[in-house]
Amino acid sequence: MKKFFVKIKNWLIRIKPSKRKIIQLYAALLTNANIKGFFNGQIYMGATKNLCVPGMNCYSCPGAIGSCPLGSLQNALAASKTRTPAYIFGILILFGLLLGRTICGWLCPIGLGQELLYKIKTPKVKKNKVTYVFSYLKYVLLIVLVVIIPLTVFIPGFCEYICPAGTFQGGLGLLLQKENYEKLADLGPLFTWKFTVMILVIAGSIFFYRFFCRFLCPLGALYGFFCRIAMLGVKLDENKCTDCGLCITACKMDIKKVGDHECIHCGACISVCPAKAISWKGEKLFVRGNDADAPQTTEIKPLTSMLKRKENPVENTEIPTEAEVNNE
Amino acid sequence: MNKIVSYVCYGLATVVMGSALVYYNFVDKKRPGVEVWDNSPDFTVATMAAENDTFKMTGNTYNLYENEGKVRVVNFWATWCAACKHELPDFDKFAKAYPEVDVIAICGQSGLDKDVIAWMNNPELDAQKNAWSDYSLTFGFYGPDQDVYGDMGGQGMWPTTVVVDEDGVIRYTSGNTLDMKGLEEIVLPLLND
Repeated sequence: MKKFFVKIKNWLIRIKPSKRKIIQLYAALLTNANIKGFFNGQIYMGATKNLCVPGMNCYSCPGAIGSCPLGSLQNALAASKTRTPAYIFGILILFGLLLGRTICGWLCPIGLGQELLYKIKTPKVKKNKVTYVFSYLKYVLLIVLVVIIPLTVFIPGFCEYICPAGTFQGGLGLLLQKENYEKLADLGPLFTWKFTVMILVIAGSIFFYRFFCRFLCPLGALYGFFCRIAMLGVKLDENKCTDCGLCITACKMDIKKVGDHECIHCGACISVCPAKAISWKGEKLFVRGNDADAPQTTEIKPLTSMLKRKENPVENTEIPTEAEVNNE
Repeated sequence: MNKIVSYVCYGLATVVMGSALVYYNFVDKKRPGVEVWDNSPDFTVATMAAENDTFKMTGNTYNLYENEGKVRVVNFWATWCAACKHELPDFDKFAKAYPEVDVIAICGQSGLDKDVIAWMNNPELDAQKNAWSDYSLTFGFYGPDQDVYGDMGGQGMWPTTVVVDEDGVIRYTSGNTLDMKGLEEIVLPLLND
């Protein structure tokens, strides 16, 4: 019996999630806190549904307590001839300025789902020039399905024709409740198409890291416009950077530079940088200086230490102090 | 100091999550549904109609109880709901075929009355291209200060149709879309009762 508990303990230690994973799980649960909806087959329709959550989470998900910003944007643009979509524009700008694509890396439930699918042990497709080119497809979807179609045809184009989150959370989330079985008879070719898209995205996420985020997500494309001005996220100190390229190699997204429009600010590059050129924006709000400036007796910064990876190839590399450099 | 900040953050996060889970799952009470064979709640909504091909609020109201003695088909739709707009032509066909039945299509959760009127007077905005001015059924409207949909048992599915018999008893309520055949199957037996 004791051996069994020891095995469980060792398993828990082995799979212990990182701090980022814990925050992602927390955000996914908080975004879908209406758990009773999964059992009674009804969506929440209360006051907080008027608020947008930062990440992608379908309005029709039985657990959703807020609105999807992408769905809200499309519906607001479709109704823009009768009402100016000030609220959704304001919310998206606020999210973009505060967090940018940090939302993708830390708060989006769909991003979490893809990362969990990627853990399935299969051969993986590494990023390359082709994936980099395909990463621009999401901008095309943003312009065509999220902007042009709602403004001209007055329907939420992305929600209606592509969104796998809607099919999974809203569609299957509601249809698989026995109270809603009679609605299965209403399904037609559009559902078949969207179900196919959902299966392709799920399959793609097993072989490609964050398949949907990299190639199809218009919300990530939108937040990517704020990459230079967002208050939170990773930043590169170009004075310290030696262009070794280790950060780009370590990153699974199609970045060309740390903190660019493809960066989801997961922080995986921080620990691999030998020059300690990558850090968090707003670090000084939480910590005393960085390693190079602080005296040697400075304890490890709490925020950075939260992100230390278990399998850190470049561990405990300390920048020499000025005194040590001068003594050399 | 940093440890204190960490503990405060963890504490706040725990409180927020705990409060959300308790509120949404135990405190926030779903409005009790209105079932078949219940007496229908009453409601009053403003009406809108086309005059010289232009939709406007009529200044009149429709009250459910005042129309007792007739079978009433109450359909809830919204300007943003594609499925709602798809089924409305069949509701109008039914209203034209059976004038002894009150068919009222109530637009809700679509903003203010001027928003809905502007939407209905701009045919480009309707992807289904309905010719609203040719419709015979009664169009109702309620604004953000009312929740007629919730009062009549709406559970978040759009469209929702409630059929009330001559005595004010609910004989059908569902979030399913209905066509002409479906309406005839539900309503005609009530006319023959």
